[in-house]
Amino acid sequence: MASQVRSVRNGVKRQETQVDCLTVFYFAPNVIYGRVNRSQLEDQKEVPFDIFVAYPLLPTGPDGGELLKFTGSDTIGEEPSNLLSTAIHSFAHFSLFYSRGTLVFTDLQGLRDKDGKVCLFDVQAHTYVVIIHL
Amino acid sequence: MKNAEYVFSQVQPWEKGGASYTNNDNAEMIEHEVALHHLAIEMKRVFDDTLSERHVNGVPGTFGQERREATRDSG
Repeated sequence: MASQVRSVRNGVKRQETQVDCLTVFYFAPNVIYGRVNRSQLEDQKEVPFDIFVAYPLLPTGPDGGELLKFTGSDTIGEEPSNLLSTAIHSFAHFSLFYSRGTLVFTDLQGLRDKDGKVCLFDVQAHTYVVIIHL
Repeated sequence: MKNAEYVFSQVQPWEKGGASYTNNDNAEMIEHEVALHHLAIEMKRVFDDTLSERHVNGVPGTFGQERREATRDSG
């Protein structure tokens, strides 16, 4: 009986570990779409474009500068070699499944933050749309 | 969030620990990029919710129950 309880608990612990691993990545929060107000610029040349996307600064750890690529814009990337990359590939599959085959997120890439979690940014997607001409 | 916490640059400043992205002046495309990013955030929330309520092997509803029971037993 004790061994069965231990086995069940080990199983639960293993499952929690897997799920925890599936939650160690996130998409950068507070991303904004902006337009430059040129009347307030001192040097017009510093900002060549009027429209921009801005991501918040990401507090990174010692190895935070290394860009981690998981999938490409039109390739599935390398085969997952650890739980993190497996989790992110699973998310890409999930997006296709959840959208009923109409959207899949691609170009999944990111940096490790100071807590070791991977912050993803600059995501792309492919969509499948059926156009019906009446 | 303070403006100072954002970086605006033509390079890829995430290599320096921050992040921003500006590569052209196509307002519609950039607006789509922001919308897509927010969609990804929402999809990740659904992804996490789904995992928290399902066994990782795909048996609906079992994992969350096991975890709650394990928490109750240990507490």
